[in-house]
Amino acid sequence: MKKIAIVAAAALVLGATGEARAQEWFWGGSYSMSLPLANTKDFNEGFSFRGVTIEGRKIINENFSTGLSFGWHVMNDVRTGTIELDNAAAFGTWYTYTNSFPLFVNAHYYAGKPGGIRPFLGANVGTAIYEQRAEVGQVAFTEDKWRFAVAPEAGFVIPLGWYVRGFVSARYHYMTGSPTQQYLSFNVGIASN
Amino acid sequence: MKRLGLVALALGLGVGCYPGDPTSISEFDTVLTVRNPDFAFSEALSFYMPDTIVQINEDDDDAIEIGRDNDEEILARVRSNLLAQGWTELTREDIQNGGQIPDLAIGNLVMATENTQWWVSYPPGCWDPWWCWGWYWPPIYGSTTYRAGSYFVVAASALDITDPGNTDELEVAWSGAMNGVLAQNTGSNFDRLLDGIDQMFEQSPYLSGPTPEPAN
Repeated sequence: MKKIAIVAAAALVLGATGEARAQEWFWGGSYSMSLPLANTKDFNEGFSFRGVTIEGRKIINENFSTGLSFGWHVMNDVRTGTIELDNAAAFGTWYTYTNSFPLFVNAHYYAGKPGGIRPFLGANVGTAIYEQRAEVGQVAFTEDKWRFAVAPEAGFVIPLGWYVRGFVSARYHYMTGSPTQQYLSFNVGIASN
Repeated sequence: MKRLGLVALALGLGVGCYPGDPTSISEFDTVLTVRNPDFAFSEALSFYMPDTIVQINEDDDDAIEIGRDNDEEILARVRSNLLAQGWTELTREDIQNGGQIPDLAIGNLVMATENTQWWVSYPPGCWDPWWCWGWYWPPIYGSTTYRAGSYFVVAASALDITDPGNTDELEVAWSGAMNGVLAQNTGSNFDRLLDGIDQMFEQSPYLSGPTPEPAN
């Protein structure tokens, strides 16, 4: 997992020190928090403060950008209790973990004028490696799946300097599969060209 | 601008795949109960329970010897839970001289093992956290050992009880199992076992009532 952080750091440093180009790229990283919903919430309930998202956005014109996004979102839970099965029951302390790695291509529309705070809407489409792990006693169950994923997004870009932008956004992640998985991620980050 | 990279690095390292692992040995304890859906627990039952806890893995290589000082208290806890269901206990004399046959025979079984796993590690050779050139040679070898135990309470048909050996297969009506990691502190193991026995009965309310409809 350290490799991911190193790649993320490299992307940020390269992006932060690079010269502005004709077709301008903004590279950024954000701290991501997650709120599980529906089936995801059944597996691990509660707000998660563990996550990171790395992005690159290519500015097409004043109002549009296209780009890439990679995230690592961790949700976990601990429950002590009994699970009822067919003609059986199991009691224990259940540790559940979800590691979601969404990989998207995306497009964003920005309202307002350059230089000011700009609300934006975005669409993310791609895939996600979705791992669920449950541990009880001395036993662990793990399931890894590639899933088709989409994530509509809304947020604000805030100018912090000539080359630096801050941004906050919320993404609704929906992943296909049986069962489907859904969660909201809240992202606070900075980007630079 | 390099600060951006450091922020991202810190964020990445702070995420972690499996945060919040167990912090107490009791969090490894599990209690599993299984019932025979065809067995009717709807009426108060009679039972016979031998006064012995049988170690079922005594001859295995990884078996560890268990203390017997607390056997009486353990059996008393199982007995009190059975009586709390409204069941009636029959003694050996009731069976041999009184001609009574209990509905169920209760078996108390235990298994205790010592597990050792060997590992090999190639630690990085570093002057400081930023200057590493490879790995130390030779590698470091070590082992991890833990002790685990299971306790089983089995309620089986007692039709064969006056003629042991006549039937090869006993019909099990209910069974409970507690699994855990054994601590050096035997007092802790004992307390956790008693809690586990109570839990077996707590999660089996049908033992004292009508048999629920089998799940489809």
